[in-house]
Amino acid sequence: MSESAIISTPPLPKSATDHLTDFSDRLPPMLVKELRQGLRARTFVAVFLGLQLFLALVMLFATTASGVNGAGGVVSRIIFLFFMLAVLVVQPLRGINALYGEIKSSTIDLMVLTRLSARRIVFGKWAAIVGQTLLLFVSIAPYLILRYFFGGMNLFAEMLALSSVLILSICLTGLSVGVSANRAILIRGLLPLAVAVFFLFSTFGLCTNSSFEYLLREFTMQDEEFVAVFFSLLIGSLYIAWTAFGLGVSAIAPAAENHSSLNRVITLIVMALIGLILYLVDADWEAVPFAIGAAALPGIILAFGEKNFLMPRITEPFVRRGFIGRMLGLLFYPCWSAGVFYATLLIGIIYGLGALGYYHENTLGNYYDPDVSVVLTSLIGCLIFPAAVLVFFQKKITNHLGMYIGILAGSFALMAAMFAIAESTSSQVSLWTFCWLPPVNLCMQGGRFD
Amino acid sequence: MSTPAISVHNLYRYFGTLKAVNGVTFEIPKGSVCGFVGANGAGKTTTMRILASLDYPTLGTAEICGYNVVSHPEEVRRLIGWMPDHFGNYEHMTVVEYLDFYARALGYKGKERRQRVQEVMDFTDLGPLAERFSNKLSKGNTQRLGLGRALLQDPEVLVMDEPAAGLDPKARVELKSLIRVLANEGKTIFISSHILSELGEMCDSLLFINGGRIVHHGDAQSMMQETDVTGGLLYDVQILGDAESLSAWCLLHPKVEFLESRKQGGRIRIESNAIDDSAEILHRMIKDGLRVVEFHREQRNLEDAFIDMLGKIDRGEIAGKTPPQMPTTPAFNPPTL
Repeated sequence: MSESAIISTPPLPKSATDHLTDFSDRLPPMLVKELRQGLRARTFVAVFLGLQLFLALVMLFATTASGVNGAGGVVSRIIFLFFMLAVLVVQPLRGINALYGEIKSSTIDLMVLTRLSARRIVFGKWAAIVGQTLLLFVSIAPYLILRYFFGGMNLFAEMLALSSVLILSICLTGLSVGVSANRAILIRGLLPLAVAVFFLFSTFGLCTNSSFEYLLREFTMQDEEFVAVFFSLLIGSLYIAWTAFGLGVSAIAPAAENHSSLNRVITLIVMALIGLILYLVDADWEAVPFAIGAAALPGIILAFGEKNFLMPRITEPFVRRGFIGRMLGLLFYPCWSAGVFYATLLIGIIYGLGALGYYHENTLGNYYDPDVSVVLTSLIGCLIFPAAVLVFFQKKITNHLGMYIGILAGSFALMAAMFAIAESTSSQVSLWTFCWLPPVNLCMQGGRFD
Repeated sequence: MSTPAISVHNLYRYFGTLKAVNGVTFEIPKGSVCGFVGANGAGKTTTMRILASLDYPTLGTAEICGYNVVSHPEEVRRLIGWMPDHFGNYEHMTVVEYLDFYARALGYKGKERRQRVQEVMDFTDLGPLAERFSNKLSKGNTQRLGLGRALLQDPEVLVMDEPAAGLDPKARVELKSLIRVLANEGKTIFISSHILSELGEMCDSLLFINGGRIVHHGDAQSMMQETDVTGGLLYDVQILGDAESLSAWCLLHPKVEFLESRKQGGRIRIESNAIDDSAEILHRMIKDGLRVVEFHREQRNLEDAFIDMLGKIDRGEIAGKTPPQMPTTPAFNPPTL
């Protein structure tokens, strides 16, 4: 073949599938899909570039003012402010429609027909946003090094503080992705939005407050009390994120899959763990039922919000184990009736601990505030009230959890309104009118209107 | 006898008081193409979703190649290709990436994955659109993408819910030819459509559902014969002048029924099957002053059969097979609660 012939041969047409090697086969398919979409999404590109641009400008100004006393501290505040806004407000909000979007466009059906399990679908959605958050985290590292250049910086403490923010962001993303499967806008939209608004104000408050440097110093982990609070908050965040995550999985999983039982077991384990920690630190007995109750709260809400049907495939593994299996089924079947039994068990444990505390303190001759049991009863009443209302509309409701949380939020809103009326009129009539409503009753326990 | 590709026995699906599927029983042998016909809300989509293991029956069984859709959904999902009537596409994702995602989700890896995506794109002719964003495609191309996705795992049974809905004639012809190729490859295809003439051409059998119950199962010919209650011959008559005069003329002649208006005349039915009577009718039309320019015989089509079938149901002449009484105990209550 002549040389000219070789040169004139047109190159082989490039196949459309050639570039499909951009992500490894080892990565979960959902993650690959979400990253391909997410990295092209305007929100992420805008946040990423905006953050870079702004931090670069800040550094430029800081360099010119490097001789000024406290310039380093100001830079730290700015880095924290924008990083926290990006990862605690913007990134979690990106998960707000993650699963509902798939449900609404019927693409969730197409995914369910593949080998992707519901858990892998939710995980992929979550992991993609978390991956982008990590990218933001890595991208601010050079600015931290520059910040070190200005002096007066505890690198370990600031890195740990930023890592804590990152972990919190990961949990918040889990929360928003998990609840995004719910049809009720109250849960899917308002809950993550309320959390975002909370962190928006907290971020501004924290980064402009004089105690910012003090808080940063705490991250050197010298104070034991701070360490305990830090790890408690960490475990609490992870637990709430996991619960919300499980909620998302249950919502999109086929009716023949059971995801609730595992979550209920985890709630019991978390309650036991907290009980153990409280025992080890010799906690005040009056605080025990409230701490355990806080751990049980997500479990009780989810149990009361279960749907009211079951498929034989779910009951089979329980029934196969004979009498014990059937008894366990009464507590762990993923349906409303078993949810009521399970919630009753948790409430029983909380009351039991309250009674145990009272007995224990009395035996030792210590004072045990009798109001504890009254407040505890009102709090538990707040949780039972929406479930009791739901019984009357059982057949007409399709979104039990949405309805349950709606009634719960509504009863607290009513309480707030009645409280406001009582405050402005200096009259207790409004509160006494609704004293049968547990949240109003709880409000009246404050002693203000006795 | 081999296991049928699709087997449904006394299938019920209630949504509260709505009986979406009410005691449906049918079988579809392997390698056949079956059309699923029924008015809107007749229970087609619900039945198809149950077959695809996306919904569950209130009572009864549905099997794909011998696997129960409730107790063995994983096996069913390996055998079935599901193409819904409507599905959303993803933002910021190209056609090739869309297929690649589903290929990954189905467990294809490496070279095999890329090869499978390429094969499907070649079959559905999506190659030129590979780099286009999947949510920017036309309706026809979106349906081709949906078909491509359904074919990724090379399913034995293809369930297609209204695949031709909203397509222009060209896209419809293309889709029809793709389905023909798949049928020739021996795949079992269960397809619902409102375009009955196309179903008649494509399908080995037709399943007619009404009010959640099967009222006919057989080939197109038997459906047309079964529903032909009045007999007679059908003619398309084109006249010059006022088209309304034809319908007015028909009212005066009891042996002629005016069926539907057309641009320059209408469609009529002559009660007698004798061709001489048709000639006599034509003669009278001309004699009565109708300026007939065209008078040609038409075959009874599936649309006629469909309308007649609905008429028979309305008159209570067809009720479908009486389903067994559904037990009052809900099927999915656990025995121990």
